Amino acid sequence: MPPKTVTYEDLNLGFEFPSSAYTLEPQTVAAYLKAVGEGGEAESGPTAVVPPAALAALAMRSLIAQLTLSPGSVQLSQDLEFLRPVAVGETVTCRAYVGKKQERAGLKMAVFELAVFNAAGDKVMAGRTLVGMLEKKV
Amino acid sequence: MTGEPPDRLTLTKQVTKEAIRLYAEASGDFNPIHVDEAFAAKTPFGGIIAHGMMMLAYASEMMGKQFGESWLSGGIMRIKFKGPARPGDTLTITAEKQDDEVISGKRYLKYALACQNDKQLPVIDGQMLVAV
Repeated sequence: MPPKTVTYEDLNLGFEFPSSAYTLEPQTVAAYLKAVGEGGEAESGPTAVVPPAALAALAMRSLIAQLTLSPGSVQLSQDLEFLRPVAVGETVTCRAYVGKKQERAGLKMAVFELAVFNAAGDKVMAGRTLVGMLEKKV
Repeated sequence: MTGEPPDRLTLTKQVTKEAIRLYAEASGDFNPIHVDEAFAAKTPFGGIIAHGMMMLAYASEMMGKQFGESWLSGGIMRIKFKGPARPGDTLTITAEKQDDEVISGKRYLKYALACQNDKQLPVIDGQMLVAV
């Protein structure tokens, strides 16, 4: 089923996305590395570490799979904190919620708080995303 | 990391339509502003633009190569997206050392991040910190 498209008005403050668990498959990480032009043997071995920006992007992917923001929405800022390395093949869980909604100079914005946990329950990454959203529903 | 931390880091990347398409597939982010020429032409950007997270990935790659494990388990990024990166742009990403910052009693090396296109227009800026 395709993800539901949400507008600014659809998002309630504090709304929690359903948590999503996913495995960082070698081919998924490899596709990411190819896209950003980051290569080398260190990223391709069986005990390789997932680049932290890939962890962030794939966490967001797991959220996009459930809910997608209205077309034309743009990311305005991104804070990330990398807390622990994650190996290729590990299964992680992503949790996110709407932390803030605000309107400035006619632009509607939402802050999404994000955290990723490893299988042991340790937080491996935290993030905060500010997105400018269009009102128009498609 | 051994020795003194560098005062300046730099990395150059080329933005291509193919890289944007590959990033959309890898990230699952098919926002039409990145992949639909007709849609993007009608937006204030006037054409497709790269995902902001691509530039963030370039900056993280630069820090990861320099600081290794310290970046993986003690890196912080505070990024503002300032302008679009378009297919054909050559991006120059730089990090300039600033005074250290202490967060919750822990000392971090701090770098000012800048990413510009070949017209010297800002694409992203911000700060990157790494625990020492």
